[in-house]
Amino acid sequence: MTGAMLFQTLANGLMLAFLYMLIAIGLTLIFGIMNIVNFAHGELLMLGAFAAFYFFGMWGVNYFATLLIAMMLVGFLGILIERGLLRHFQAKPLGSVIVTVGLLMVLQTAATLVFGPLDKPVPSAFHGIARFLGVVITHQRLATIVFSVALIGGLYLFLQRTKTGRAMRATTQDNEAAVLQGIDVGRIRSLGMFVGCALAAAAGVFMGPIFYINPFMGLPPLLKAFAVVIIGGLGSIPGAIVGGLIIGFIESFGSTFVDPLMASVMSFAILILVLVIRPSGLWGHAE
Amino acid sequence: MRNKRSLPTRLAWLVLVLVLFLVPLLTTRPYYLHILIMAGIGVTLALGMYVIMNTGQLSLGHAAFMGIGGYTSVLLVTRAGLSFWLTLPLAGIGAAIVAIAFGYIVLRMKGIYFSIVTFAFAEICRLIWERWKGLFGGVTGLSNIPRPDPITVPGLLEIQFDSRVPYYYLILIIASVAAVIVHGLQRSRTGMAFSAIQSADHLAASLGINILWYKVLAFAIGAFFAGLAGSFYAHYFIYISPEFFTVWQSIHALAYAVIGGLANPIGPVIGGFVLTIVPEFMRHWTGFEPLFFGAILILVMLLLPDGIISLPRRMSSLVVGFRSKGGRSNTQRTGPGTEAVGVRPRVDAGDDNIHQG
Repeated sequence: MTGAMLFQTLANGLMLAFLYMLIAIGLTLIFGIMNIVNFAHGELLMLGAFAAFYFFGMWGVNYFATLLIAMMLVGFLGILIERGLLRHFQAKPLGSVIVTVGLLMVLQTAATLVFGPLDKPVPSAFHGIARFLGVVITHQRLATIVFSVALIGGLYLFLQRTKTGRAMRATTQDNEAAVLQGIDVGRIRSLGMFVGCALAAAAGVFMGPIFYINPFMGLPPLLKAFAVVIIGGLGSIPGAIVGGLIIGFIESFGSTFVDPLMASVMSFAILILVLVIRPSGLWGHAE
Repeated sequence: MRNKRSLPTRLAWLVLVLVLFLVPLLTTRPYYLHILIMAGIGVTLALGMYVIMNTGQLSLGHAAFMGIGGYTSVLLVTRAGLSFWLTLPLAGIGAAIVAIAFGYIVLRMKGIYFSIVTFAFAEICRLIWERWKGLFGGVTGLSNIPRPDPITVPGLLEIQFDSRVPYYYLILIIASVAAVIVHGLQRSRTGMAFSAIQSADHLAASLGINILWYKVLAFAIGAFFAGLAGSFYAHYFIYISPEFFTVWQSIHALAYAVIGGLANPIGPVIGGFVLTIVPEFMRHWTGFEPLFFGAILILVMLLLPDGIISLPRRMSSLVVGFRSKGGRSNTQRTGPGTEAVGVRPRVDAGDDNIHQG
């Protein structure tokens, strides 16, 4: 194993880590606010990817604009889902699982019927390759890392510095106390759903040029995101960040030095290990 | 005692079983028998989910246990030369053992983590079956699976498994055994422990009930049924591949149980039947099936959360509501109803049914 190979794997791992972070943060945010695990989250990523295919790939819209459009569209879809469906299943874990699973089926099948089941390519937005430290990384992947950092950083600032952000954090900690504080929890829920879904869509837009897209692409990242969220602790954003790094690097190193299947199995094993040792996750609130 | 099975109900059950046993005399059309066989598999899976869900747990990995049973049975028959009649129960037992080992670790956690982990477990199993070509045949699976050995009663009869009829009776027996076990559980101490855990597990624990052990037991029983179904599946289709045992299959099993209703064992039976047979009429719209399934799942959860078996009760309470002025309709979901069940486990209980183990 050469140093170059190590750095290459690290670089790939970093990109995967940020993609998983985007998905996991959305999942954990939605859970923190609404106590609902959104099994349809992967499908929202898929819709973001298809938005990129059509707006950027087919209709030539600027990549940044596409990113924004995708995030808006999927975000608003999320609000519709939240108000129309999820609202009825507040703090009903079994029911919400079933309902979001049903949603998964609906969205994935609808996408298959509308877009067709075949793989579709999304063109790169950034051409060229960067080389440093023996690492070869496409500009597209580099951009993905940079934008992900920007989005996550933006979210951090929003949650820490703005009044609405603090209200959201308060709601995550204690729903009832938030209501007593005069926080409009209903609005926060919709906003949280919007943000979570928008992040998933962003991940989809980033994944587009790097991986082929198809209506079934939502499930594998969702499973990885579940691992991230459980390791980090459901409801914790720092946990999602750390968990994302862990799973991203496991997958990168596992795929490069063993094989992709073992990487998935290893992620799963780590997941079980964490749950056994610390059931609420690394950052989760012990209840 | 808790419930008295009224004579009409017992009679209805008897008639149903009789009719089912007589079906092959009425028709030997392979297509109809095939649909009923698929319904039988569905019912067996649904009954397994029923047991698991009535301890308050939602497993999304049911398909994995079906696959474990299927591959176990096939490998034992093709590689170890065992008879199907031995590998069928072994498949169930094998699946149950995996469930016990897995459940012992995973059932300690909050219910939602359990659901997620079973979801992941199902995917991992499928990946293993896909990638390990040597043992499991990879994506293309294993074919030319031997049919069950003929049953011979010397001097009397010999049953060959060369038509659908013997398969039909076999799955009917398997499903009936499952139903009888579930029914027996309801009335036993074990069943009461299950209900107690489902409703209020802290209280159950305070009574000295070992929650983890009972949850694992329920999980293992459910897995056992799934394993049986998987073994039957493989030897019926004479072909096994990972594509049968996906998350979709788990979701289907879940749907059968939930849409049928979790208050009474007849629920998963109805759910398994209806949801296997109705899609057959939708053959024309292949590709739409998962969409309808998902939509029905959502609609049922919104409008009829206690499943199909709650329909009579809902209808009657609607009538009561119309009759009395101001509609003092009894839309309560807990409390005495018209069904002969004491505790009514529900999927969408107002309180958080998922407690930490």
